[in-house]
Amino acid sequence: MKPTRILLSAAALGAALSITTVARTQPADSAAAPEWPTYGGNLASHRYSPLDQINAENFKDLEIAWRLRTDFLGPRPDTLYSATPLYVNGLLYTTAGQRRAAIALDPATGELIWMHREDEGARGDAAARQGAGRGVSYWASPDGADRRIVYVTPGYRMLALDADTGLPIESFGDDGVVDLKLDFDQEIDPIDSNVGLNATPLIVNDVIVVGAAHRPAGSMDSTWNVRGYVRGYDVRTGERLWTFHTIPLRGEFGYDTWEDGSAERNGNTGVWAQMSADPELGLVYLPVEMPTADYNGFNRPGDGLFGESLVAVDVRTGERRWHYQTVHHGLWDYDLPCAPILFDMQKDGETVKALAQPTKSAFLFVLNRETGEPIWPIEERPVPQSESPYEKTSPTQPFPTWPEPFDRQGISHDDLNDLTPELRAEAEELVKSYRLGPLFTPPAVDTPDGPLGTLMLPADVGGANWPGGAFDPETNRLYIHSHTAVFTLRNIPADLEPFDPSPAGAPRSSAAGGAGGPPPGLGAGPPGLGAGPPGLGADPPGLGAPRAGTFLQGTIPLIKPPYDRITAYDMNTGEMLWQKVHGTTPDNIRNHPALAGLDVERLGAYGRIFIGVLTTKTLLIAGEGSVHTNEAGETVALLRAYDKATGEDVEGRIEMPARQTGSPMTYMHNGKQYIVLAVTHAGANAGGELIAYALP
Amino acid sequence: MRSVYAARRRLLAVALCGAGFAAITSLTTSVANGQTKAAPSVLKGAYTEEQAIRGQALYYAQCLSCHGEDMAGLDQAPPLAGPVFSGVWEGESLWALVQRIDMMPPTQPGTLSRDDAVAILAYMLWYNGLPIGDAPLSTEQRVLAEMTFHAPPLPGQ
Repeated sequence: MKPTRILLSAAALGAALSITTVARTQPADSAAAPEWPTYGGNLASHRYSPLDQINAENFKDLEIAWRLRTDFLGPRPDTLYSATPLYVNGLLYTTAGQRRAAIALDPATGELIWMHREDEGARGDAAARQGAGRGVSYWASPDGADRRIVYVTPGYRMLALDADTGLPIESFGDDGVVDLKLDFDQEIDPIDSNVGLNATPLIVNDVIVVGAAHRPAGSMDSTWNVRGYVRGYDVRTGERLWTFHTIPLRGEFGYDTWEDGSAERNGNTGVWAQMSADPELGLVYLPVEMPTADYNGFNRPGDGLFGESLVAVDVRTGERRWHYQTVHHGLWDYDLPCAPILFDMQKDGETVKALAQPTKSAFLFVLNRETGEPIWPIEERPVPQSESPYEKTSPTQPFPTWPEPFDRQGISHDDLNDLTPELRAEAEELVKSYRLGPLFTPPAVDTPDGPLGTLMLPADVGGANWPGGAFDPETNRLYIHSHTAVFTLRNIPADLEPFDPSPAGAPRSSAAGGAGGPPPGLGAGPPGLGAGPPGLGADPPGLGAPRAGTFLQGTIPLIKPPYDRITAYDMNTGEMLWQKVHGTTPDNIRNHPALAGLDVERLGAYGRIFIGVLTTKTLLIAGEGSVHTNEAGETVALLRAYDKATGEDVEGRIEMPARQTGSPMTYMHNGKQYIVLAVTHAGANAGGELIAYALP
Repeated sequence: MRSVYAARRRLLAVALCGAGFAAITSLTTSVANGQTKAAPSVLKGAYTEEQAIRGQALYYAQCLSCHGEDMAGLDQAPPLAGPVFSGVWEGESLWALVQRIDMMPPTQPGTLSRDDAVAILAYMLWYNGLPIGDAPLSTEQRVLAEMTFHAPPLPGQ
């Protein structure tokens, strides 16, 4: 064992620090054991492992093998720790802490092997995507002598570290660092420009593919935002190989889908999601987000390629092979949130190279991954049009006719809560204030006499979201978690006015969510407060009456359960095999007097629940996204397992101390199978934690 | 971070709870000679109107663009009012909430003064339907640590 090595370098942006506590001579074991070498388990994003030491018979015996709090790795505790570690090279690798340190851990104990941190100063503070990120990427040279960990910092710098020591690879970029705010085919502020990334880069065929993310675009000050171009880099040198313009430049394919030259005055359109790749085809699949802004398209008439499109790009050249747009001229924040799942479909006696792209809107877009052609028909259907004269709503949207969607789409009276007649009556009364409608109903203009907004289902956050799905390549079955929540979508009255397309013109994205809001029983403010004519202005309105939420009797969702679910599909036929409610009902619904006497133990978790699922030989495993109080009075979230063939619950009540916030992964190390996932504690104990489970 | 938002107000088309503000009382703790003052309960009025109004102005300037006018949350920003919020924070100390607020806004963590963070918390309490009291919410750690967040009682409770 070598002594601890500490490297301190005075980088221009601040201090970098690597600490190596153990230098290993060779990987621990597991020549034959499957690794977990990428965020999604493999480049096809399957989240699958053939391990079966943990199975339906012994799942109930799982114990905590080790835990690692991440607080000490940053100036403040993690608030949503969403990383998935890698198991490769005999170590566990991930990012952790508010400063997004890269760490290597002993897979058996969680002991820190090495840590690398970057203090990026003002650039880090201004990061568009804060926090620990989703993890790291791994690369090894063919002879295995050169092994690297690659990740992107909050300040949008890409680092390559020696996988054994955590020390920067000096031959990569500038002493191990590539500044992603440079060589971007656009001039942006080197410190506080609005671009970053919390996803992991994807490495395929010796090319690192890096996306771009922005601050949530419901709150943009202008549509003239940074463009989310995607770039490829040489994994050995850090040299930029190509840039794919997600908003086409003049003369490039797709430029004319931005009417009125609006490609020149829009930003975003990045890839904040994870990606997938097919090394044999040499293609990387980019799930592109929407242009600026999320709920308002005044400044971008037209379909706006490659917004909300899946784009297949040649990984050596960055040239587009094909694309498929899943939403035209989006107004709903239904951008592509996760990696497509690649698989070989057995169809009509032939093998078809296919992929399935889950969406926030609860569709699976199933395409031929060589050509981009739909496997089953996708129809362009007419959709409702905006009442604002300045919003050029797309006349149609693409609707996959098969498979069936994995969650409810659109909201009608049939979707209202009917757990009791009283709740149903209250729901009917409440929705009189809102506009209901099918999928792709535009935002209602919120005027004093009009509706409070359009109720939107799935919510802006899905449906599915960044964790994506899982896939069992032995049976060609796909699994995905989704949640069912209502969101309030509205334009403000100013949206009936002409739009200022200059950089000073705000995009007026003004949606308001529906997952919060006060109990409707809250009375008006005290006399003398907040009186005055309603009108437009920048000042707070004073304490008048809070807006209504979308809840009944204080805490019961407006819509009927279930509130989160897992869906299984046979991807040879597209047939939905089963759906299962996932989460335990939150306390404030479960214990509500209005539901006394009803079986409401498992209605699902309500709210912004992002759950990644894991498939193993026989099981489907996922933790709950919200906590509840158990019989002992403890706050817990369950780690659940299902028979992946049937969706039946596997026996066992594994109580985690906090809710799942990072998707689980699994590995075999020295003969023992572990399941590791990131959780996030709330309240006085707030912070992120990695927890490893194993059999006694 | 500043967002120009239309200031709007309307009486909502929801039933106003009969309990309403008639039930609001001031702090029920008393301070007698030699007695320790108990920490006030958020259910009985733990902040002043003045604090909440000041907190509202801060909220509009610093928080609204992500968390929304109705505190319902947006995209990555979680809700700050309603059952999803209270499901997370029920029974947790107000000091934990102040610490959490102190991490905001995300691009400028640690820049709010204690007074401002407590004022924003007061506005959040108001928005969550918790009553106004006679005495301001303390800015002292030891007092806030003894106070816990509770959602207002459900109808029928």
